[in-house]
Amino acid sequence: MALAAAQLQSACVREQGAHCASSFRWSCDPSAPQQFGYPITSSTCAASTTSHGMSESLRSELVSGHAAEGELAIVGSIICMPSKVLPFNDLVKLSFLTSTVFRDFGIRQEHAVEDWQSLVSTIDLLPQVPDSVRRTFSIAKNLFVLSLFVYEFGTVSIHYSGLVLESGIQNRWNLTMPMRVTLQCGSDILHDHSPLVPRYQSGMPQARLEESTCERKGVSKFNEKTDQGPRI
Amino acid sequence: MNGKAFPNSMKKLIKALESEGILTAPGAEKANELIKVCRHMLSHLEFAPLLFPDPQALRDAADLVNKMFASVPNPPLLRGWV
Repeated sequence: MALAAAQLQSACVREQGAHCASSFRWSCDPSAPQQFGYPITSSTCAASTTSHGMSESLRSELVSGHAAEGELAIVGSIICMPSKVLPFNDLVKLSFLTSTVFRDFGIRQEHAVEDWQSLVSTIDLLPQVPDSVRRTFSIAKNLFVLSLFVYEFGTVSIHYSGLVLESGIQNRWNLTMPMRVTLQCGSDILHDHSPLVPRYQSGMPQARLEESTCERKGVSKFNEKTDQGPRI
Repeated sequence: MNGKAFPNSMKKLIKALESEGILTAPGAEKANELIKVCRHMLSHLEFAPLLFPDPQALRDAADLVNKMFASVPNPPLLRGWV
């Protein structure tokens, strides 16, 4: 990839002059130090290479040599430098940003992996919590642990905590329903199983209401798929 | 549904659980706050926010879910349960 970048840069110099080379190096050189630990993205490079207005012949010449080897990515008419393929040791390197908060949790650098996991190891759900909630919770926990390596996963973990609660609330409300329910929308009445019975592989109340509304209008989503007439 | 208004939003669902005695008033308030901060504010993005990786949100969500399901028998004898 470094070779491809160098050739791309020298091609820019040939066509556009020194100014192009300096701006190219600033945004696209994969050997340049990373700012704040974030890798150089493909989109940055794409914007850069198109702004240089490289000729079609030069572009084809470069692409033919490197695209096949996976050193250049082509998105439409734009040449992109692919993201870095990191070796295992670099991939699991502790995130600099996460390590700055170790002291807040009393975590020692040398036992960071174990200590970080122990922060969430005691948080768990009761056995009677439905599987869909448990699965979301498990993802949230794993994301928190992985934020040790990618700081941004901490934010996604918090988002998933919200999803755990949302799923828990919906599932718990479903449990308050009797096995048979009456749905009424205007003058239309539907006697049906409660949302506990996942007839359409969906137990969420919002989805049920939507189905009910569709049926009131005589346009059932379910029936559209099976070519049957309206159920009401 | 069953003579009651259908709770077609998360706020109404939380209120319904509170009226059933499944959530306490402080619990419902906490649930509303968590849903607002962790769910809605991180779903509808105009820019990508970065939050401090804090296990407290996970702990709060798990506590609320556990409180809601504490009164459910284990294992629940219901169809569709995995």
